[in-house]
Amino acid sequence: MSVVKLQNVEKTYILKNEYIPVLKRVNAEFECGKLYAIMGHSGAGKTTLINIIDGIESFNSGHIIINGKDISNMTKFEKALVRNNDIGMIFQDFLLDDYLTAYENVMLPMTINKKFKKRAKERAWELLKEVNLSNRVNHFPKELSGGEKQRVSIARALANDPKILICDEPTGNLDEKNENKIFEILKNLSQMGKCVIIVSHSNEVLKYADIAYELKEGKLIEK
Amino acid sequence: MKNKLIIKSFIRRKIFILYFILSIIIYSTLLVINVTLTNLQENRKKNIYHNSLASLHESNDYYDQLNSNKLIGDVKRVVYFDNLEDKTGRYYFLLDPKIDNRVLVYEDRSLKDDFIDIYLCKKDYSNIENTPYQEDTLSFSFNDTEEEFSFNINKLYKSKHVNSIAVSSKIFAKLLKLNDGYDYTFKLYESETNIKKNIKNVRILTSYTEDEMLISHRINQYITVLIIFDVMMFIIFIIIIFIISNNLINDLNKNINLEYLLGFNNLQISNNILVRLVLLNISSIIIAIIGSFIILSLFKIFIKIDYFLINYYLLGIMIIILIIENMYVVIKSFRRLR
Repeated sequence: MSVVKLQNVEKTYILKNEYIPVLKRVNAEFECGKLYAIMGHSGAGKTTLINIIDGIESFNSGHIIINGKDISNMTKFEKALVRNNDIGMIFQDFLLDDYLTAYENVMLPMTINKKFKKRAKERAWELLKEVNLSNRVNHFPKELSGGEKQRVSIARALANDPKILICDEPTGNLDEKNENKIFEILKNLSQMGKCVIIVSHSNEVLKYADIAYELKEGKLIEK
Repeated sequence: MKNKLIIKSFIRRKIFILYFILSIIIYSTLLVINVTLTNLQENRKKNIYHNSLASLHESNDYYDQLNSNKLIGDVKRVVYFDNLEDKTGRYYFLLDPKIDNRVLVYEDRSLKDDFIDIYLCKKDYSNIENTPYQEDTLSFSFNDTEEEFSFNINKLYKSKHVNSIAVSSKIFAKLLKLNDGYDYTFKLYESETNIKKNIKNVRILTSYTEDEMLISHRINQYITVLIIFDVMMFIIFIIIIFIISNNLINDLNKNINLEYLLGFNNLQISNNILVRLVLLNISSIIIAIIGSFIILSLFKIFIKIDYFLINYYLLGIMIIILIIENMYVVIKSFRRLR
């Protein structure tokens, strides 16, 4: 069953009176239990696409259905709720709060989630254990390596048990060894039933992807 | 709990510690200056009040208006005798040149009708205190009446101001009826110049001695310096608040973005910004108040501080400025959100 559905999604930027179409009637479906890779050259619109799926950026036309909910006409408040409940996000530069420890960072999205609010601390510890960071729970980001930071970021993305994980260049700042480790974790998560969408430059992701797309001239083409 | 993490993250920053300490220093300096200023101003008032006496003659009764005038205090109805008949010749000084060689008369409810109390300045008091004054009889009269009032002396008192006498209530009421117009004396809370601007026909009877003048001059100088310092600190306070606000917006930018991406809605993000600002401002104000009390307690060892009251007016202005600052930071941060 697809948890992310893109129906004729179009996005055009207007820069200095010039129309720059980034997404042209994009149609795609992403299912749980699969790992998707979205490739494309720099400036192809990969980040725009995932920002639109996250509800961070608006789009000009079409529909996006996240976990059965059409976000096309949602308010900012409703989109924020979808981001918190249904989507886990992983970023190239980790985006951790430097002044919170690993487990506090993982707890952060749970503080506004009704489901996990009460047992946020225990769940944060469990998730860090799952990504093999049980010995780093009380460490601050500056005390962690790049790979460890990204694993904290993955644990945080899983905090509210979302069905969808969206990863924007998750290994962009990591060496080869850590890159494979992160992809393995993400692969495992997809095998455990998550819908994992990875945007990446690295061809390494193709080893782990169930389905790979290329974003080319505003179209999402299956490889 | 959601605010607990936000607070934890905020207070762990070096920049928070820096802003916190800076805010405490500014707030406590402002509060200490203001309390010191209040003390000096009150001391000046006391000094003026203690040393001053003014008189006023009016054709209409202004007693209530004078009593409600905050620049003056201790308003008393008085009358003046124009003539004194003194067989001993020792009491000539009761006809005081400061009041046109008349005798100033107050009311004393405890006195019997045929007795007076005499209030004399230090020099005149020492001339007469060892004489058998209880046996002396003094007679007083008005120029335009033939009625004469004779009294025995009940007691002598020292007075800081002009020489005067006190008569019983009954006599005093009679004198009031005979008096042409209404006479009052009162003490001053403000300088002579201010009083003269406020009350027409006022006549200053006593003010400072040279020493007192010097003290008063010094107090005035301190007050001027402190007012300048106070204004400067207030300007610095506003500048620092503005700098802190702008830096906070930049410092919190990453956090605001992160919260947005993690699914915090705009209201929750604004609330988080406010929590941080309120924490910074309220905690530093509370510590500044406690700190300024400690500093003033230490000052108290060296200088006289009677008034420990916080200047609520200043505190109110500071809080209004901080609320404006908070709103500015929230709105500006909010606009930066994607």
